[in-house]
Amino acid sequence: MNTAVRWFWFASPHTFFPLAGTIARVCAWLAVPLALAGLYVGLVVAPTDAQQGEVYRIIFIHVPAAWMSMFIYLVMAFWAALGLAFNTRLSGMMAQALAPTGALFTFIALWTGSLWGKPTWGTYWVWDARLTSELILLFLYFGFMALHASIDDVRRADRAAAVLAIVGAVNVPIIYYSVQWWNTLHQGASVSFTKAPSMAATMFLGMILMAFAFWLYSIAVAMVRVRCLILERQ
Amino acid sequence: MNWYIVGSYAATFLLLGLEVFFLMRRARKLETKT
Repeated sequence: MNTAVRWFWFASPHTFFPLAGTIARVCAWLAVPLALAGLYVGLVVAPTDAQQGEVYRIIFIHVPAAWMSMFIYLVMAFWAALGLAFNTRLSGMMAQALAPTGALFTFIALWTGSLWGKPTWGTYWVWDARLTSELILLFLYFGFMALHASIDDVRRADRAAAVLAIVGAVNVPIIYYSVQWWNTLHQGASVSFTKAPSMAATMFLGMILMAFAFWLYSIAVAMVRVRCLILERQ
Repeated sequence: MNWYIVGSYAATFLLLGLEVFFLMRRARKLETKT
């Protein structure tokens, strides 16, 4: 079976169902040790921050959760666009399966950011560009899920929600660059593709381990949810 | 005890745990039905 045929083979919900189960199991089993290692490095090994003291340790969940909130939205928009372009049933299901987990990580990023903001900035919330655009991302996830749930015909719901997902993707670069484009209370990017990390190596390691754990968790959960959607739509 | 750290970690893992719990319950119900 050549590669092109295999892609189309797995584009069918019926053939993807067992593969999704295998992917979910593998990712779940990998996510647990990675999360434990990330927690150990973050809470035990990483040194106390010279300026913020212990409270900076929120970074080990706040930053990976914020990355996942944006990344999951882009993946969701990708599947939504694929569904619109090729009218494949599985694409709509993938987008629908990712939305609740994306919304959860967005909420976690906002919640942990708020708890980090109080001791460091003196306030739980401020209407600055980074925080506001992240809140809009949460509303976009809610909008996607609400729009999908409000239309009885699932194929029509897939198409309508796909348009919202694609249009909403414009918010992701706004979140990412908000700290550069505007004067914000929020600090700049923690990690850059072009520069070496400015934090201690163990802090960086803890953050990366947690990011991979969240990433694998998201894949596992999305795969279980897509299996549920396949069964529900049968 | 830093309650900001406890609040962050507890809420995060509680929410992720709840998501897994309800999702697995939904999956089990569907798989026994079909």
